[in-house]
Amino acid sequence: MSAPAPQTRLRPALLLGLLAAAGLAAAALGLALGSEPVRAWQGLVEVLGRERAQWTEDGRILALRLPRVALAWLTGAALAVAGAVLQTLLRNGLATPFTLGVAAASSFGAFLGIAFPAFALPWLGGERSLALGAALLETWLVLAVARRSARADGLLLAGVTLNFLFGAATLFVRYLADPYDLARMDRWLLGSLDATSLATPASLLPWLGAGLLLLLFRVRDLDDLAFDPELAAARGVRVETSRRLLLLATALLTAGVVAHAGPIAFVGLLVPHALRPFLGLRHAALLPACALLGGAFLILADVLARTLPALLAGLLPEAFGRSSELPVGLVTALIGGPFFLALLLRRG
Amino acid sequence: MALAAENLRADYGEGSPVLEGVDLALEPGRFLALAGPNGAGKSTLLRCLAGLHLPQAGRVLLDGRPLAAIPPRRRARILGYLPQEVGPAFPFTVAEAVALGARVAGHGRWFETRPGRECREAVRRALEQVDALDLEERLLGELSGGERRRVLVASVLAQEPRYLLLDEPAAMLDLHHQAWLFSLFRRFCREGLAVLCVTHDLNLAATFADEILILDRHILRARGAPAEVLREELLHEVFGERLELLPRPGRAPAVLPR
Ligand SMILES: Nc1ncnc2c1ncn2[C@@H]1O[C@H](COP(=O)(O)OP(=O)(O)OP(=O)(O)O)[C@@H](O)[C@H]1O
Ligand SMILES: [Mg+2]
Repeated sequence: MSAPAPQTRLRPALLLGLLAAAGLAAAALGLALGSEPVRAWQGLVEVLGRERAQWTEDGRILALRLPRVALAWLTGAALAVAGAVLQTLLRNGLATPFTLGVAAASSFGAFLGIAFPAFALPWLGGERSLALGAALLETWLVLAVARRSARADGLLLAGVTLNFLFGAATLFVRYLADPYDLARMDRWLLGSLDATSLATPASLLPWLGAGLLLLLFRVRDLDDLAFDPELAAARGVRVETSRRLLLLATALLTAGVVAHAGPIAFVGLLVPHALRPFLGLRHAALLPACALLGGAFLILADVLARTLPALLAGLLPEAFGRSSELPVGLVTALIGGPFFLALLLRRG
Repeated sequence: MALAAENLRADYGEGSPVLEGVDLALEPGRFLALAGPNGAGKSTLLRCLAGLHLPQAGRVLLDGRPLAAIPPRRRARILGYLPQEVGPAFPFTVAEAVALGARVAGHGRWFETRPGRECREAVRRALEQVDALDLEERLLGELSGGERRRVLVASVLAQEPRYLLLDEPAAMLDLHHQAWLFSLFRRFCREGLAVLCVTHDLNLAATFADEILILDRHILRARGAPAEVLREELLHEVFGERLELLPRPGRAPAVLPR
C-alpha cells in the first residue's frame, strides 16, 4: 500500500498569532500610507494623547485615517466570518455572505434612500438605515419562507429567490432614478470605506457583537453540520434551530457592514477558502482566523485603493489625473478574482 | 432498561406506510442483526429508533422514557447512530471526523481551537478498535470505501454510547474486516452494550449476532436465533427463489446464492 502524504494542518495558536501580527502590520501600513505623506507615529500620538486644537498636520491626517482603518478591519473581519459560516451552512465552498440576498436587499434599501430622500429617515442616518432595515427584512423573509417549506434545501432556495427579487426591485429603482443618482448608486455598489470619525466603526459594534455572540454559542454545531446534517442531528444538534440562528448571525454581521461600506466583493469568499486547508473544520479556530485575515486583507486592499491612483497618475495623467482613490470593492475584486482562479487551478 | 419500539408506524408523508406495527426491544447485552430486501424499511426503522424520524403512530422508549422527551445532547451520549450514507461537505481528516464523536462523550471542552490530549486519546482508541489507527492523519475523502466505512464506525464508537444503531457498517468491508467488526460488536455486547446492526449478509449475521430480525415490506416478518430464522420457505418468501440453504452440523445453515 502506498499511502498518500498525511494532511498537514497548522497549529491554530501559531496561525492565529501570525495572522494577528499580519493584521497589526497591515494597520500600520494603513495609517502610514495614503495620498499624503505623513509621520504616522507622531500623528497617532497626537490623536490619542492631545486635544484636537494642538494637532499638527500629521495629527489631522491620522484622525482621518484611523476610523478608516478601523472600518476596513471590522468590515473585512465580518464579511470573512459570515462567508465561512454560510459556506458551512449551505455545504458549499462557493457561497458568499451575499448568496442569500442580504446584499441585494441592502442595495435596494440604499437605492431607495438615494432616489427618494424623503424615505431615508435622515434622523436615523439616511440611506444607511434603509439599507440596514431592508437587509434585516430580507433575512426575516428568508427565515419565514424556509420555515414553511418542507424541503431540506429550503433555506438556499428561499435565499436565492429573494436575492433575485430584491435584485429586480433594485433595477426598478434604478430605472426611476435620474443620472446623478445613478452615479451615486454605482459608487455605492463598488463599496467605500469612507469614515470621518470613530463613531462610524463604533456604530457597527452592536450588530457585530450580536452576530458574534450568536456564533459563539453555536460554533460547535457548525463543525457537526459541516460533516453531515443527519449525523449532526444524531449527535444532539437541533439542526433546524441551529441553521436559523446561524443564518441570523451571518445576516447581522453582513447587514451591519454592508450598510456602511457597500457590498464589497470577494473577501467573504476568498478568506475562508484560503484558510480551510490549513485549519480544517474546527470553527472555533477557523472563524477567528477568518476575522483576522479578512480584516488585514481589507486594510491592505484599501491602502491600494488610496495609493494606486497617485502611482497611476504618474504613468497615465489623462486617465487618472482626476480621481484621488479607487473604490475598494473594485480593488478586492481585481485582486480576488485572479487569486481565486490561481487557487482553483493549483488544486485541480 | 432497553430501547423499545411499540407498534411503530412510519411514512414519508406520501400515503403508503414504510413501517407498520413494528414492535422491537433492544436490551443491554444483546446483538441483533436486521436484514431484509432493499426498500423494506430497515434504514427508516433505525432512524425512528435514533429519534431522527418521527413515527406517525406508536412510540419509541429509551430506558422507559419517550425518546422525544430526552434532550438531544443527552440522547447522543446514550445512543450512537451510523447513517447508511455520510457525506462531508469539506475535506476532513480522519482524526477530525472521529473527534466529532469523541466530543459527544465529553472528551474536550466546549470551545477549543484544537482537540486536547484527552480527545486525541479517545480518537486513537476508537480508531484502534476498527483497525484504522494508521489512517489517522489522512483525508477522509482520499480513503477507499471500506477504509472510510471503518472510520465512520469509529466516529460513532467514540461517542461511547450504550446503544449502537448501525446502518450497514460492514458494507464495502473485506472479509477480514467484516469478521473483525462483528466480533468487536460481540465483545461490546458481553461488556453490556446493545447493538442493532443492519446487514445484507445473513451468514455474517448468523455467525455473530444473538438474533436475526427480518423486515419485509413494512412489517417485521421474523425474529429469533439464527437457526430459527434461516429457514428456506421464509427466506424464499422474503428474498425470492435465488438462494439456497446449506445445512451445517451444530450451526445455522449457510445461505448461498443460486
Ligand atoms: N427521504 C425519503 N423520502 C421518501 N421516501 C423515502 C425516503 N427514504 C426512504 N424512502 C422510502 O421508504 C422505503 C424504505 O426505505 P429504507 O431506506 O428504509 O429502506 P431500506 O430497507 O433501508 O433499504 P436498503 O436495503 O436499500 O438500504 C423505500 O420505499 C423508500 O423509497
Ligand atoms: Mg437502508
